[in-house]
Order: sequence, then structure tokens, then C-alpha cells
Amino acid sequence: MPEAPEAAVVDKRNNLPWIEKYRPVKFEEIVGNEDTVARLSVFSTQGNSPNIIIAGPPGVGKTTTIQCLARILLGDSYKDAVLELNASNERGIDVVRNKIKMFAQQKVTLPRGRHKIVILDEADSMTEGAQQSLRRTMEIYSNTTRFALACNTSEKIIEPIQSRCAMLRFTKLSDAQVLAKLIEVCQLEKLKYDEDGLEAIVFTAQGDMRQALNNLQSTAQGFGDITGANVFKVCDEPHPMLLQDMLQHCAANDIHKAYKILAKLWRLGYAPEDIIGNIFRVCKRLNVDEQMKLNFIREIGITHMKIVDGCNSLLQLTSLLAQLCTVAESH
Amino acid sequence: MTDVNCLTSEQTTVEAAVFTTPTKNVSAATATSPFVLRAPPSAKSKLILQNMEEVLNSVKQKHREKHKRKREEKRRAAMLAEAEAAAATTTTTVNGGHVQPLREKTARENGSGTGTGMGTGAAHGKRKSSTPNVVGDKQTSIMKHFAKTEQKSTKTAATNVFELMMGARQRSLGANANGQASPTEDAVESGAAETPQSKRKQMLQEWNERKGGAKRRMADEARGDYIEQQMEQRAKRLKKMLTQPELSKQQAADPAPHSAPTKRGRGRPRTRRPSADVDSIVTAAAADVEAVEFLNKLSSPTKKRDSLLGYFPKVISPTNTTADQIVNETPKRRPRNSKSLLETPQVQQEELSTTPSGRPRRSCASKARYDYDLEPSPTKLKPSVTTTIEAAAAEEESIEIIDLDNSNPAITPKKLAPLFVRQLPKPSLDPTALRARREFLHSGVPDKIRQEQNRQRNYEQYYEETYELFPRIAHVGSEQREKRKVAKSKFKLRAEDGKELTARKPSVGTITSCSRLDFAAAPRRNLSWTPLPVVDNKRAMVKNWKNLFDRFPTFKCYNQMREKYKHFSAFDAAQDTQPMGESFVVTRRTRRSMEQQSSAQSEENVKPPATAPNGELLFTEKYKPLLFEQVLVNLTPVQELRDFLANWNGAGGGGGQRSSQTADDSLDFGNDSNSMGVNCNTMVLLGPCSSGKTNAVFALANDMNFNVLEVNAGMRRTGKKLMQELQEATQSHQIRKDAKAGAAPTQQLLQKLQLNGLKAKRQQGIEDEVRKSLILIEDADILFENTDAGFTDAIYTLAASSKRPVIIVATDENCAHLQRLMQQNTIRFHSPNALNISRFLAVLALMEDCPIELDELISLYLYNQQNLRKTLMELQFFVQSGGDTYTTKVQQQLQQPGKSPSRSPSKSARLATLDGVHIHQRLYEFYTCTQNVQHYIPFPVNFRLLRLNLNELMRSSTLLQELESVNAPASRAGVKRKSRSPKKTWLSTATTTNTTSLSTLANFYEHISTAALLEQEHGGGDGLQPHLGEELAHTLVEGAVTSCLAAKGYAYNLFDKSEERICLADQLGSYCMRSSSSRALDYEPALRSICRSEKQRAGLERRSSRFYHYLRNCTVNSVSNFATELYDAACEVLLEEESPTTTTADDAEQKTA
Repeated sequence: MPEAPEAAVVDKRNNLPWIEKYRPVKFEEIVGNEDTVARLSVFSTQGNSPNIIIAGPPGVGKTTTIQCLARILLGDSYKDAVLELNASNERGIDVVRNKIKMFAQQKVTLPRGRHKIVILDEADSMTEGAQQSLRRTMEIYSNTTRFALACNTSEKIIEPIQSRCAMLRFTKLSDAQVLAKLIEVCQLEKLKYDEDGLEAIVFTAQGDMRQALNNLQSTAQGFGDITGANVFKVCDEPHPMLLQDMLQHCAANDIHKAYKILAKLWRLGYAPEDIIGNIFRVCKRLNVDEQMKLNFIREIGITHMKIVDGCNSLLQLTSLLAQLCTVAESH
Repeated sequence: MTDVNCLTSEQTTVEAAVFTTPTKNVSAATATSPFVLRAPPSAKSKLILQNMEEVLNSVKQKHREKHKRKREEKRRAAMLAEAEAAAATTTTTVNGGHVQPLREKTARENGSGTGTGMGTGAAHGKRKSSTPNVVGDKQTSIMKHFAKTEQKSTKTAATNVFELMMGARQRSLGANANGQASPTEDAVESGAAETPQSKRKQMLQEWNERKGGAKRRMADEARGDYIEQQMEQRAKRLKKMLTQPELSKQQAADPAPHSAPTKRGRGRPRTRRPSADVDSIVTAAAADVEAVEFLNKLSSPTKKRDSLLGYFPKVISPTNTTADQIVNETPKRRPRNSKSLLETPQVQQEELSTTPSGRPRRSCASKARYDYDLEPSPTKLKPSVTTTIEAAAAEEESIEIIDLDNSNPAITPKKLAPLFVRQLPKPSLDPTALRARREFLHSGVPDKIRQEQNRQRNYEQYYEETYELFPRIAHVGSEQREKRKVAKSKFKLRAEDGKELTARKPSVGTITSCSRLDFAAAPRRNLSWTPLPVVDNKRAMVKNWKNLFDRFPTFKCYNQMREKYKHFSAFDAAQDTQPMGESFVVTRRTRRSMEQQSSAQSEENVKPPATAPNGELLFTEKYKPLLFEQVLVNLTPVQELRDFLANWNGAGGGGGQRSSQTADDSLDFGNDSNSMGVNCNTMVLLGPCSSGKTNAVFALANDMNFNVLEVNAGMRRTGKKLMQELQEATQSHQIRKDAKAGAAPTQQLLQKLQLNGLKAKRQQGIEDEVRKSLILIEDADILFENTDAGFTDAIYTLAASSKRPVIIVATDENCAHLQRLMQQNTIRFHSPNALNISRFLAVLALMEDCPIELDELISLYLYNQQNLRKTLMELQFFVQSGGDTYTTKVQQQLQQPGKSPSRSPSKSARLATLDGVHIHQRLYEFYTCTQNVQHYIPFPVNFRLLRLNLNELMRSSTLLQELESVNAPASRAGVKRKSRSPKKTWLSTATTTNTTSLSTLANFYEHISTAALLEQEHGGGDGLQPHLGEELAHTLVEGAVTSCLAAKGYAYNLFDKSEERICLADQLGSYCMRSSSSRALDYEPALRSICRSEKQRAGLERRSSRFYHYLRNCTVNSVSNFATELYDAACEVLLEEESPTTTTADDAEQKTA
């Protein structure tokens, strides 16, 4: 355990997972997608926000943003004026027809320009029927109730619903954004960290803030210090430095050395899917000729395809090395 | 009646029962017996049993004394009279003949030889006289049962309720002589002494007689006699069987009376055996044991719980077998028989006392049983009695003594029906009996077995003690610890690798995109917001734009919007305190007042209230057309709809401001349409999302004063509910009037004229009342099979029967269940034109103080796939959150929006500004650019868009241009240099082979095709997992564009125009295009011709449109989706060009070109 609790309140907070503990409650704290978040913050003060859909990959703050908006917009009447339904709630046709409609018809005294909010988290997991029965409801009660939807893929939201909302697309966080937040958390938690460790966490997170914080907490509670080695002990992935070496060997057309590293990784028991993924990520940042890198990526892509198809043996990975060496040779 | 009484209280039942059934005595005695007989069995059981007998007798006596003495004299007189009457009626002659010997015997024994009468009444009389003699009494009691009915005997042990019921039955049957004689005689002789019950009974019987009951009773009597006769015969037979062996075994009769009570007294087998020993019945044979065992089984609790019906047959069988055995084995028969006779009632008593079932017992089973049991009983008892009269007399003395002692136990256990008994009267055994029992049970265990058991127990104990559940010593894997150490030294494991790696620290940025700068603390962001400056000179700007927006009613739009803007601002400002109503409906009246308001106010001074600067409404609500005049785009379909509705409006419409028709015209037209409207009251509005279908309906309804009854998918709309709600609506006042009028057109005309006149006189206050209804069914193409059953049928019935217009809104043109309606009346809506909409949006944005570049609006509109509502939403989001004010750090030089390949990139449509008003330009960018990681090409690569953009990419590719420019001069130079040294140029070209444009292109295409493959691999991913394939594809494409083509400054289109999309290949599907020509030649032409002919047929008559619909909905092959226009067009092209060899693919290209 990294630290001893001082007060009861602190103790209670300490027991929370960090993703909850450091979940932003203000728009200023939300990392990434600054423009959209800033605009939403305007609505949180000015009111009359249109219906919105926030689409984006996991861990970029969709739900957090919506909750921020609702909390700041509605203040004390959050409890009465917000109906939050996520995928764990039942959201069939009947619920839409009864519960949501009832909520929309409900009278809640709010300041001018503020509306009740129905938050539908993970809206892409709603059945099409439920979405269809939502469409006219959304329109009829738009004077009193606004909808905020969060989803991963906007394609799963039917067109009529999309047509009634402003679509805001969130994208994966950049590495720098994740890093900034990690540093902030480390300082708050008074962790001992080094650049290597943080970078390793950023590497493993892949633009997912939730994963980054989880990895950070796991490392901190498991080993205390945030160092690269510790991080890779917790998040067991093929080490990028090894892969980098391997790719450099390939670029130097030295298949023997490259194969040694690959065989070692294989013996360690990593899944070929993990290996190929990390090879790709390392290759993106590889310090070689652009053309060659592109060809490398192409070969990696083809091998990835094979692996996905089920040809996930060491032989395939070895053939990748051979291909990479051929590419390097032709350059 | 008596039944009811017996249910209410026991006391009355006793009395009522006693009146007609003297068996009560016996029943009471036997009822007490279980309690008495459960006495601890001992060696002195004989004595106890004797006591019990005495008790029984005393109880009987008591009862008899109690109940009978009162009525003795009266009864006797009655009986005598009755006997005489019976003799006269001859009903009992046969009966008497059979019974006589028995009765004579009894009479002799009793010493009261009054029995000259043959009837049953005589038996009663005798019995009453025989009170002192116990044995005789017993006999008479049995006799009496026997004489009356055989059923009676079964009831001896029955509960009071049952007994009573049976008694009542007997009475009604008239089988007993009492029932026949007593009512009349009692009524005559003793009216004063009658209890009310008897009175009542009398009355009942009188009634019964009056209603022909006499005849019935006669028949019943005859039947009863017959049965009795039968029984007698059977008894005789049995007696004969019994008495023959009996003669030889006279000496065995002595223990019989003793053993019989013993058997009766005990329910347990263990006690029986010693008792048999005591009684010195050495002849207790195997048969006896069998019967005992069986009875044991019966008395076991499990058996008792069984159903009674299942119980009785089992009882019958042993008695039968015993009877058989009696016949077979002569010596042991006597005691056994008596035992079986006496045991059976005992068993039944037990059963009665324990069974909690309230179910009335079936009499037939018990009857069958007791027939056999009781008939031999007198025969058995008689010899015993005759031989041991003295013994009986001796017993008689002891009775009195014990009676006093046991008076309490004999009386207190009042027999309740099992229905009323709460807890089963389970007599507790005293400990000595229990111990004896246990001892007996244990005594049987041989030493050998005991030893075996002991050994077993010891073994188990030992096992439990020695065996551990979780053994401390594991016999598996203990040795491997050392082995693993050996292995560890051999192979390198992860830990060591980790050490190896930690030695090398990667420099920052090798594996992630983080730079060293990022490790410095990020600066706090400032989310301050400045409201948009109010644009003052909107009108002037619009004037400027007017020239630009050719053929667009710019000023009309502007004025309209200004009105609305002002209205809502004023509205908001005025109602600052209370919230808005559900929906704001602008009628003509309010509009007029609005106009007045606006004219009164100065032009530009209306501002939204400070508390709600963004207003309260969505743009879609705020700026939607509320009247027909306000419809700016999509005018034609709305006009069509208006014409349709005008037919239905009749003269009741609002205002008379119709532009096309005069009032007279409309009247005439209305009359016509009434006849026509019967079959044509529905209208289907078809069109894509947000093309203004619903809004058109509402605007027109508002304009023409209709009351809209809306049914949408958000409601439960089962067929039933729909019909309920709407049927009611269609039967409203106005409608009925219409229907009436439809019958008589002239009257209707008059009425309407009157109405008009009235309306003209009355002011508009009445207007709201005369609102007519209009049924609007939204989202009719959406059908939830499981929840909305019968929705389609309801629509059709509504369409067929409704007297009001039904407007059905649907999106899906190929919706199966609406095809029939669609054929009748359809208005198609289309997405509004992008240019018009952009102008409309520009004015709108200006009204909201945020003028936006036209290109941006067009681009966004197209990006949203011509979805006006979505565009409006996003515009609102953009405008109300401050427009351009947020300048992101990254300037996108590559991604200039709004540049489609067809249009020139120069900004021809730039809007003019005045006074340095900022025209916002980042609307499109906001919605299309990624904000965290900058991509040149939007992240999930859309290869269709990429294909569209390839032209632009190629054109902007610097590398290709360079190469071309290099190549061109090189060739020129080569020409120049040719003279010098051709070999050198060859060499020079040879060195640059890998940089020719062709190889570059080849490389580029290879990358893109690989990317496409990768993308295809993961098509339809759920998006929850970051897909490596997608990422790979994107990186490849982007890399290919940047490094292979080195394209710069290209515009990447994010939308393709709908016009471009329509090509034959799309209609056929790429699959069809790719397929072999044989397929195309084989069945597709046939299918096509079928489709064509079906379409024609469907057009001719409605009935034969089945196949048409089927084919239409058949989405397996897109050939059948009736896109024949395209084929026609292709054919035309073919004919024009007269090129016989062109394939369909070529057609497609020509078409699209």
C-alpha cells in the first residue's frame, strides 16, 4: 500500500479505484477534445443545450463529459431532473415507452433555459426497436427534456435518432494528453516515478485514459515505484525495447539476431496477437526510412491478417521477419 | 336440516341422531374405545380387557338410560301401532320371515317376548325392554343395525356428522319404519312432547307426502326390503358355512369372547402375542400372524395417511382371506373370525381418530367390508352367549363398579368429526411401554450382528480420526521443487529478461509520441466564454446577400425569421418567471397579434432575456414553419398535402384565406370529395429522415385548423388500443354531422351554409370548438411484432372506416405492410436542395448573431447526408457555444472544407460583410476534425471516400508532379543529349527506375489495396476494442498518401454527392457486376422481364399485385427492386450509341459520366 490514510474522508477516497477518484467533475479537468468540451461548458452555464450524441472509443471521457454537463447545468436538482440509463439498465421498447416518456412528462421546476436530461450511456447497445420508439418522444418533449447519448460507434445509432442530435465525435487521446494526466495523478498520489515508467504506461494505454489510470494504480500498489520494468511486469506485454531491437535487426537485414529475440518472446509465452500489435506500434515510431517503414507496416498488416485468420504460429511470425528482411534488402 | 344442525353443534346432533337412530349408543361406546383401549398392554391384559368390556357396556347403558327412558312409553305405543300397520301393509313379510329366528332368540334371552311384530319397530320395542341385560342388549343393538340396513352398521364407528348424514338419508329413504309411521302417529298422539326438530321433520314429511312422496317411499321401501332380503340370504349362507365347522369345535368357543375383546383392545402386534399366550390360544397359527401383520401395516401412520378408498379394499382382502381360511382350516377359525370381526371396527376407529381428511368417506367401500364382517357376528356371538350366560351375568356385576371409576374417560372424549379436531388425539405412550417396545425391538438383534455393527462403528471412527480432509503431507509435487530449481538454471525466465531490459532505458519518444516537453506540467486551460457580439445591421447584410441568393426568397425568409426570433425572445423575456408550455402553437390569431407586437416594437431592440441567453427552444422548434406560407423549402409536396386536406376541411376551415380557391369552389369541391373521400381518406407521406413530413402535417393542421391526433412509435400501439383511441376520436361530434350530411348532399350544403353564416356571425372564439380531427400515424413502417400486435390491421381498418383523413408517415419505401396504402395515395418528400438550405441556414445564423460562411453550411449539410434537422442541431450547438471563438492550436492547412472536385477551390461564395462583422468559418471543421490526434485522413478509413478523393490526391501529389516535371525535362534533355551519349541517358534513367511515376503509383496502390484488405477483415467491428486492423489500414493509407504521393494541400472530401452515387453498379451491387456473364445472361433478364410485367399488372388491378410486392420486398437480388428506369436509361444510351459490345459495366460508367 503506497500510503497510510490520515483521515476518514481520505480513507474512503483511498479505497476508490483511481479512475473514480480522479474522475473529472469540472470541464477544466477533462482531458482531450478541448474544443467540444469547451463548447459544452458554455452550454452548462448558458443552458439550452441541444440533444447530443458523443461518439468515441472507450476511455476518452464521454460519460464523464455528459455527467459534468448535467451536474453543472442542473446543480441541486440533478437527482430529479436527470434520468440516467446505461447498458446495465433495461432499455427495451417498454422502458422507452413508459419510463423515459414518464420522465419526459414529469414536471420539474428548473431555472429558465435548463431542461431535464436523459442520459443514455452506451446507446449503441440499445435495440433498434427501442431507438425507434425513442424518436418521436425526443422531439415532442424537446421543450422540457433533452437527451445526451454516449456511444462507441455512431453507426449503431439509427439515422432518425442521429438526425435529432448534434453529433460530437471524440477521438483517442494523444499520448501527451494521457501523459499530462498521469503526471498530475502521480503528483497527487505522491508517487515516485520516472519518465521511462510513465512512458511505458502511456504505451500500454493506447490513448485510453481509463486503462492508463488502471495500469498506474496497479503498478503503484504492486510495486510502489513507477518504472518501466515494473509497469511491464504488471501489464504483461512484449517489451517494446525488445521489439525495437528486433526490427532494427531486420532493417539491418540480420535475420538471425532478429529471430533470436522473436524466439525468446515466443518462449515467454506471449500470444502472437499481442506480439504483432506491439510490433506495429513500435514500428510506427521506428527510426528508419519512411518508405521502408511503410513497407514494413504493410508486411505487418498482412501477417496480422493471417494471424486473425487463425494462422498464429511461430512460423508466421518468422516469415514476417523474413519478409521484413527482404524489404530491407531491396531498399 | 339435521345435517346443518349437526355441523353447528354436537349436542343437537346427538339428540337429533338419537331420535331416529338408537345406534348412537354403540357409536358412542366404540368411539370411546380407542382412548380406553390404548391402555398399556401388560400381562394382565385379560383383566383390563374385561374392564373395557364393562366400560363399553356401561357407556351404552348410560346412554340408553339417558335418551331412551323419556320416550319409552310413547315410543312403545308408537311401535305397536306401527307394527300393526306394517303387518297390514305386508311390506315386511319376507323380511320378518328371515329375521324371525334371530329375534326369537333374542327375545328368549331377554325374557321379554313381546316380539310378535315382524317389523323393525318391533325390534326397537324389544330393545327398550331389554335394558337390564347387557349381552342381550348388545345383541339387540347389533340386530337392530342389521334389521334396519346393513349400512347402518358401517356407521357405528363413524363420526357424528357422518352418522347423522346417513341417518338423514335413511329417513328420507323411508327404509326405517320409524320414518314411515312416526310422523303421522306422533302428530296424532303426542303433539306436546315433540321437540321442534321433530315438528319440523313432521312438517317436512307432510309436505313430502303431499308431493307424491308416499309413492316414492313405497318404492324405496320395496327396494330396502329387497336389499334386506338379499343380505339375509347371504348371512344365512355364511352362517351355514360357519356353523358346520363350529359344531365340531365347540370347546374353542370359550376363549372367543375373551380373545375377541383383547384383539379389539390392542392396536399393536407385540401386545397381541402375549395376550394370545395368556388366553391360552395355543392355536394362534400362521394365518393369525398374517392378519396381525396386515393390521399392523394398516395401523402404521403411513397407511393412515393414504386415501381412504385405497385403504378399504386392502381391508376387504384379509377378511376375505380369513374367511377362506376359515373354510379351509377348521380348528383355528373360531377365534380368528371373531377377532377379525372385532378388530375391523377398531381399525376404523383409529383411522377416524387420526385421519384429518374432511372428505366424506365413500360408503360403498366400507359397506362392502362390513357386509362381510357383521353378518357372521350374530352367529358367532350367539353360541358364545348361549354358552356363557353365567359369565356374562358375572361380568354384569363388575360393570357397575368399573363404570363409576371409568365414567370420566368414557364420557369426556366427545367424539368430534375429524373436520373439527385440531390436533390429532395421539395418545402418549407411557415410558414403560416405550421401554418394553424398545427392548423388544432390541432383543431380536443377534449377538453376531451386534458385533458386526460395533466393528463397523469402530472402523468409521478410526477412519475419521486418521484421515485428514486437507492433508498436510502432499504426496504429489513435493519432489518437484528441487527439480524446478534445476530447470530454472537451464532456461532463462522472464525475471531475468526484465533485468536485462531494465539495464537499457529507452529514450523519451521511442515508443510513444510523447516529447520531453510533455513532461513539464501542462498549463491550466482557461474556459472563459465571451458571448457573441450582437450583429446590428442584419437587414443590410441580407440586402447584400440578396443578389447572391438568386431565386431564393431571401427577404421573405429573413422577415419570417426575424418575426420568430423576436417573438420568442419577447416570449422568453415576458415569461421569465414561469416556464413555457408544452408546445407553442401559433394560430392565425396569435400570429396577427405577433405581427402587431412586432410592428409596434422597434426593429432591433428585442433581446433574449439575461437568464436564458440561449433561449429555451431548439432551432428545429424555433424556426419550423407554423403556417403554410412559412414553408420555404419542399414546397410542392406540402402543396399536394394541402390540397388533400382542403377536401376534408370543408367549410369549417379557418379564416377563408385560401389562396387557390374561393369559398364557393371549396364548397363544391368539398361535396365532391365527400363521395370520393370514402375510398380515399388516407395519404401516405414518404420521404427520408428530416425531410419535413411531420412538420408539414402539423403546419398545415395549424393553418387549416385541424386537430391532430398523433400516433407514434413512442406509444404502445397495439391494434386494439389504436382502434379504441381513434375510433372514439372519429366518432366525435363533427364527424357524425359530416356522415349525416353525406347522406343528403343538399341538406349538407344548407347546413354548411348555415354553419358558415353562423361562423361569420360568431367570432373566432368558437373556432377552437369546431376544430376537426386529423389522424396522423407516425413511423408507420416501424412494426414491433411482439409488442404491437395488430397494428397493421388497425391501420387498414382505420383507413377503410375512418371518416376523417388519415395521414401515414413512413420512411421506408419498400415497407411491406403499407404497400396497399402506398398505391392509393402517396406524397413523396425529398431532402431539400443543398443550395437553398444553405441560404436558409445562412439567414438563420445571421438572425442568431453568428453569420456563417455559406460553404461551411453546404458542406455540413452534405456531410450530414442532407439531413436538415441534424444540421440545424449542430448549427445550434456551434452558434450557441460561441461560434468561431475557440481557435484550436493546430491549423489545418490540408483540410479545407467545402471543396469538392467539381467546384473550383476559389471561394466564390464568400459572403459579404459589413462593418467588420466576423463571418464564422470553422463550423465544418469543428464537426469533422479530430481534436486530439491529427489525422490527415479521418480515422476509420472510408475507402469509398478515398476513391472519390483519389483524383484530388493525385493532382496535389507533389512527388508525381515532380517526377513528371523531372521526366519531361529529362526526356527533353535526353533528346538534347541523345546526340551526346545515349548510353548515359539510359544509365541515368536506369538509376532512377525506382522513382518513376509508375512505380510510385504502383507502390501507392499496393499499400492502399493492402489497407483495404485489412479493413475488410474487420468490417463491422463493434468499436469497443481498438481494432488493430483499422489502425494498420489507416496508417498505411496515410503513409501512402504522405510518403508515396507526398501530396500536399489537398482537400479531402468527407461527403460524396448523392448524384454521384447513383450508378448502375450500385443498383446491381458490385457482386452482380463481378459475377460471370452467364449469370447475367441466364436468369437476370428473365427476372427483369417478370418484374416488369408484374409491375404493369400491379398498376392495372390491385388484386394481382401480390407478386409485385413479393418481388419488391425480395432484397436477395437487387435486380428485382424495380429500378427499371435505370435499365431503360441504359438501353436508351445503348440505342443511341449503337455499340453492340458494351457491357453493363460500361453502361454504368456511361451513365455516371
